[in-house]
Amino acid sequence: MNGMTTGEAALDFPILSLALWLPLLIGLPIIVLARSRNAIVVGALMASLAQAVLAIIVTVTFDHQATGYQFVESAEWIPALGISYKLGVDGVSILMVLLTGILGPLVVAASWLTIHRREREFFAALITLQTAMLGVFVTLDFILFYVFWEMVLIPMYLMIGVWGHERRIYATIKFFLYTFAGSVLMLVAILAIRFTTGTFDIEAIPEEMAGASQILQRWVFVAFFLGFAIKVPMFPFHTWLPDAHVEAPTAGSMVLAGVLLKMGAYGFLRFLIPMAPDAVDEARGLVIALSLVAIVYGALVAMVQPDLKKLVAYSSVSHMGFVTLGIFTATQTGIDGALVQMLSHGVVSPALFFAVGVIYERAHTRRIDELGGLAPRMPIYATLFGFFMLASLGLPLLSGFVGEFLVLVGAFEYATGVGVLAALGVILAAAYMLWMYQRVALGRLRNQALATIPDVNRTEILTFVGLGVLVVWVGIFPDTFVRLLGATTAALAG
Amino acid sequence: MLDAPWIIPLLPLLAFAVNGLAGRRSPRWTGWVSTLAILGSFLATVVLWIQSVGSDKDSSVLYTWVASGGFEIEIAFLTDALTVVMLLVVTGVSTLVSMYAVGYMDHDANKPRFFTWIPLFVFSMIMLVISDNLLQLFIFWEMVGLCSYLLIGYWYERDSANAAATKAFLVNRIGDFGFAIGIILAFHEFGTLRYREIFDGLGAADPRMVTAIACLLFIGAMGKSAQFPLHVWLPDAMEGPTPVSALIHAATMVTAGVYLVARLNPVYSAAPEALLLVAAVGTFTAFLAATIALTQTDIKRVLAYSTVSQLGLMFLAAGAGAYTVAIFHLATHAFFKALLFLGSGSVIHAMNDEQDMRQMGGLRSKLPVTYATFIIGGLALAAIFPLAGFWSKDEILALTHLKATSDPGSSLSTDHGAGIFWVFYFTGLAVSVMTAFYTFRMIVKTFHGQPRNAELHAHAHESPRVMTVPLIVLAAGALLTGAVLGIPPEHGIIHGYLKYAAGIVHLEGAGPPATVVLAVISTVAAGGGLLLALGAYSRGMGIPALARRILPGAETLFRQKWYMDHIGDGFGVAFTKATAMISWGFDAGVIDGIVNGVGHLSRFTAGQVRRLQTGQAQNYALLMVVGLVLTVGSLVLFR
Amino acid sequence: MIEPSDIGYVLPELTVLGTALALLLWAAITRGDRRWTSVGLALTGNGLAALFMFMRAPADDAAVQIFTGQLVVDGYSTFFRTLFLILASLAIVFGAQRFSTAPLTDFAALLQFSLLGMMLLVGAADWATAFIAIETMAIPVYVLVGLTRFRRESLEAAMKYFALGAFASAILIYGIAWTYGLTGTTSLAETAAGITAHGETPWTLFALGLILVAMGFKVAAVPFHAWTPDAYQGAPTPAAAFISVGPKVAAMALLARVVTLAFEPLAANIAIALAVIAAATMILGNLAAIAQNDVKRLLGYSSIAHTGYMLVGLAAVSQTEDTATFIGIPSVLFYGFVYAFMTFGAFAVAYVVETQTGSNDISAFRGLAQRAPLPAVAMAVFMLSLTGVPPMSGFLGKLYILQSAVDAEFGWLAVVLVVTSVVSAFYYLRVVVMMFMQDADEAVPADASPVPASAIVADTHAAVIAATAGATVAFGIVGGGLLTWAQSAVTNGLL
Repeated sequence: MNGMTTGEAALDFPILSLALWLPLLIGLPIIVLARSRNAIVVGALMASLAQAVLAIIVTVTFDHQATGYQFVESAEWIPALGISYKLGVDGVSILMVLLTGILGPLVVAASWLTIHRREREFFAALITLQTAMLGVFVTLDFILFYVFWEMVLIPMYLMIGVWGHERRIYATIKFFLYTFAGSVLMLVAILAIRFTTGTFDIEAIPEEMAGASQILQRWVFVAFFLGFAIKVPMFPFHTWLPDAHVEAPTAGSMVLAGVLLKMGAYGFLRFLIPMAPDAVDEARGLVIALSLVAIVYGALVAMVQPDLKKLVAYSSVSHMGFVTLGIFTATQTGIDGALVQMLSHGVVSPALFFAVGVIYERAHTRRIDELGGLAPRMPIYATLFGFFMLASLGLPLLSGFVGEFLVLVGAFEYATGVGVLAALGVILAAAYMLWMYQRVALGRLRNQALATIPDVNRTEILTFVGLGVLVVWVGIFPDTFVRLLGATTAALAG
Repeated sequence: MLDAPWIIPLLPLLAFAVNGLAGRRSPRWTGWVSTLAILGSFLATVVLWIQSVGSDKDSSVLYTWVASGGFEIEIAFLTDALTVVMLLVVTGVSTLVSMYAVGYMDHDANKPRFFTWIPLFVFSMIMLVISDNLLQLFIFWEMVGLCSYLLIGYWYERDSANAAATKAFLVNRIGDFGFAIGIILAFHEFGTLRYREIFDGLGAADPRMVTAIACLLFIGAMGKSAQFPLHVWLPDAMEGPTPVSALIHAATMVTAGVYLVARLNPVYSAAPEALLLVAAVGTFTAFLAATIALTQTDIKRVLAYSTVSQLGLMFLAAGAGAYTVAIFHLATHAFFKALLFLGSGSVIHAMNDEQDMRQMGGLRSKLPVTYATFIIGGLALAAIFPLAGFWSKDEILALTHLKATSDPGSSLSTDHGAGIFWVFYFTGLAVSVMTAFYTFRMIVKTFHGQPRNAELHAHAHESPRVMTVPLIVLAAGALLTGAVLGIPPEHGIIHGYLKYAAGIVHLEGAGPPATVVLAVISTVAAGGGLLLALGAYSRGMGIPALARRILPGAETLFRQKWYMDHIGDGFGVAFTKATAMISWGFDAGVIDGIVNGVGHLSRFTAGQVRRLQTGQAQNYALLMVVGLVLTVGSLVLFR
Repeated sequence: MIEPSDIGYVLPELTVLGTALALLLWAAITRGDRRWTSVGLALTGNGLAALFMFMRAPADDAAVQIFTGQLVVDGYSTFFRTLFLILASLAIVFGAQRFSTAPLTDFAALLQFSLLGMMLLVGAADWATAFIAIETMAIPVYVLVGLTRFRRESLEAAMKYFALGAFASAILIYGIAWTYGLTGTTSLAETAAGITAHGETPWTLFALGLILVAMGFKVAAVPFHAWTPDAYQGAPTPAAAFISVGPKVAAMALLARVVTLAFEPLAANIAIALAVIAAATMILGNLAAIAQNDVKRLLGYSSIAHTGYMLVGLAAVSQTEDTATFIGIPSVLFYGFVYAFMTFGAFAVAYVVETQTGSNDISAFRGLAQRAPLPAVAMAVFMLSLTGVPPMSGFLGKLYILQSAVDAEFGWLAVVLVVTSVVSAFYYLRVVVMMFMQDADEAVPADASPVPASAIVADTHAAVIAATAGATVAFGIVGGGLLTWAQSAVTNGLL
């Protein structure tokens, strides 16, 4: 890998803009004009592959030694309000760019298998979502960021509401209102920052905010914290998540768990910590306490869920607790761990949701007590599911371990007691995951309707493997990714 | 070869990949792929061993695993004497077990899966012992646990197997919880996780912190090496196929905890309280497991508790500061316990998968090779002169006695609680008696007397050669390793070689006369146990009945395994689940209730607001007037 | 002294007046289907008016006083007159789908009269002109609400609206009288000087209160809003679409002049009064909308809520001391502009559903995405824009208003605004849910429509929807130009 990155990372063409808009430019026309289902999927696949390739190029050419933003593009957008079109990436966003890119084609593949009506609209929404999500991670203008942040809501809202399950409308409205409520307060805070600093430029604000009053910082903290904590979601703002996941179609859950939840954590790192550092210091104890509760409580609630998808959803609450914990330890190792955990969870939990979707497609149930004994009938599926189950519970050499361990190292640096409580979550994760796997995949066949259930097909295997490659890579060679972060996170840790 | 230690783990890894990807297409060859790969590793280890005698090698770095701020971890190989001994044991025993399994698993439809996990296990175990730092060790420590999980649950249509596998993983996780905390604290204390750098940093470290780290790491060792109270998973692990029991749950994986303590011996030596804890836990476990083994009727469970008990003795040795002796016993135990397990597997194979000794008996004539080798293994386990177990166990007791009687000198910084080592010593003797007793109880019940199940007995047959050859090789090991490696006591080949291990402390014994006396005492104890067993089960003397009268209730206590499973599975699991249910109720009722409550409240308010809209123009006009009065009034009043 | 050149400046208004009269004349002298000729006439007139307006637009930083200071022609009035001309034109095209021949001509003529009033109102520089313009604008609107005489609720709504409107007019004229009495002038600009001279006495505040209340009625602010839902529900849909935007925005334009010009010396009192009214309006409007099942009533309450948002901008501008940097007024201008398109468009889609199902109930929107995908998508755009979700123009509008509130350190008002926006998401999204996430009610027969047979949703109506939706999206993404225009309109007019 050493040879691949050079000191000069700036390409001479606007690669971020390309990654951002190319999917829409390629994908939407094809999807709108396509005459067959397959043509629609091919259009979506091409669009997302284009984004994935560009995201990988960005990651590979990223200069891990440079501090500050790279691949910066800047242009005026609405000069009357001082809003500009400014893009760039640094160590905080690089992994998220990669994740968003890579997840795209895989989600398209998963949707191809699971979406059987109104495909045109679905894939149009999916591609729009891809662009919006990437936009969140690459924008360096506050309003542009907020635009993408909210734009994400719309396709997701439609995905859950139109292609979801029985209680989809309740779930989707709850999802929208809850997350919208969180983000509008953030908008007020953004404007308050602009009032103080005179700019929406994310790159310039932290310096300008350095002299901001304690009162302003506190208000900014509260508003940002609510917005991001709901998105993560942190305890006790998490109850929209299980509902949204359970009702969402498989692809929706994959995107939701894979990228959407990361937006909140990203917000903490990108905005909250640099822009309200003193208020963050004041509230650190509380946030860490909430993270710990999320870790342990999320795991406990996951343990007794009768619905497979809800179990995975609550496990997300627990795993994202590690992310917020790492971020707020204010140690470089903790933040690195949080970012790696974000990447890992961004791959593993979509895989688990996909695994649930595969079963639901075949068995039409997600209830754990109606499953069981699948392993002899679906050996490949059982192996793949088991693999991601293990990745989720933090088995070393798979991705989940790296992030959690680094976060723990950071947590112990912060306070030993915090580290001990967080480590407790690792035991619980093993408990609910193994117990779930035992009841779903192993044992005797309980439901005779599943006696002839077919094993996974080629496309499904490919989707799993696509996700699995990253899981193994992160697990075995984590430094490939961690080295990209150091220059940025060292500064963040202060 | 010298500079290529990576070849040792690479071969099993390749076998894992080949069997995992292509095994289902040609299942016949999977067993041999596995066996030959592990054999290759063994041979490479032998070369390494020959080349490494007398040298103190530095570790070689493969690649940087992660570097985050000051937290830098490399995947690196440390091939010192301790590693080489462990590698020889691991790869040697694994080769034989894998070969044996070719025959044992021949009729199993899913054997590609079996021969996928076996090389993965060997790979992980190699990487564990070859590591030069604590995190790499931990990584593969968990991987070994995973393999154990996969192999215990190999027959995944059996609920009991799945439950046992999950239990093994979870109990190990509890241990690893302590282990992980210990590692992280060690990092924060020493700023590194490399063994040698930790040892170098001991002098400047806070002694209380060192003790805490040592204790926490030992919790991990308790999990993996099945020490009380985390021993509960090991007997259940017998749900796996018998070769797995032999390989993982007797010879190699469970010894990882002992290896850990030996590897970190300078840390433990600097933390005498921790060392005392190690000895105490080891002794108690040895005693507890031995009593339970007295009453078990399942042949594999007897062996499982025996393993727990022997591991306890190894910790007693380590806790007494005799790390080399612990490793010595680890090595000899690997041979005879693998032998016994494989022998029991041969019996089970012959008895059509029956494991209950009450269905056996009189198999001596049907299974001559198995019987002969089993006797050797039994004698070795019972520590009868001059078999392997004698030499190593005798040293453990001798050094415990030494600790009890005299200060062992400057090699241990302080010497707390020498008196308690008397307790340990006598407990060790009692364990010797019980070990010999349950071993021969098992042998008699299985091979001697009249067949208790005529039908099964009629179909019993000796195993094929692919299974008996490993038995014979292991029997040779059980016969000879002790004498070859361990003579003279405390100054044998193994002791001399292990001097080159990183930072190891070698505890010198009290000298020949005292040693001989102690050896005679322990031999008498073992012989006594053996004779009691023969008397009770072969001659039909009423010893069990007598024991029941003298110690009423004891048998029930032992048979119920001291109610440990009731506490763990019953109370522990029930408590966790109840907490989980309460949490869920709280989540749905209170937290989500508030969220939905906000929604309901705004709708309710909306309904009330709507009632303002009467449709009557008069009311609207009135509203305007009110508004007018309020607006103008407040403007004027609050100006 | 009336200069002859003044006539050139009022050519647009004269053209609109001429068009109105021509329409009435055309109706008197022709028979048969004159729907398209009426529409053509009105559109031509409005086009010409726009042409005249831009030809005689004053130079950049000049505000031209005409008719002895009765009227002012400036960038500010040009901004609003442009909007009103577009709006009236859209409404007439919309009406052509709704009405058969005779009512259409009436509808068009009344619209033109009201348009005339609105155009005069935004240029009013004198209390007298303002009052006359308001009445010119309002009286045709009362008739528009009652245009479908055969519908009881239409007549009832018109009567209520008229009665309450008359009441409000009385309050307004009373307030104007007090102001005149206190300052001795009817000129808006000179009023300020008079009030400064008179000082902040209970009497000046009393006059201010009366005028605020009357204007509050016109913009439908709480608690003077009660007529709104009834009027919208009763009015024929094209009329409702027009009423929900035009008179409200025009009155808002006047209110902005009043608070920044005439009563500028009382800015501090105005700020708090407007802030309280704005908050009450946002809260009540949004809360009440939740409980509505009739889409037109829902849009009625929604329009009340949006009044509240715009009032925030006005409150902010009064609050801030440093008028050089204020953005409150331009934010109101921008918001009024984009609000016009999204609300108008929403009524246009509601009309599609009305013709299909004969109902304005929200449940009639079930499955619209399958029956009529493009109107459904457009409606989703309108709803999201009304909610204030990017990248729609409603977001940019709210952002701008919020910025003005934050800059004026009206933090609590900003928070009320965003929180009520969340509440609004609930009922706007309900419409989206109905359209996209639920299947059509089989029970609704396709031909149950009581709407006249001539009223078919044709291409021109689709064009109205497309235009409003397009504008709603476009101003969100490339709204910079409009924003700059709004800013320069304020600097060239009000200041």
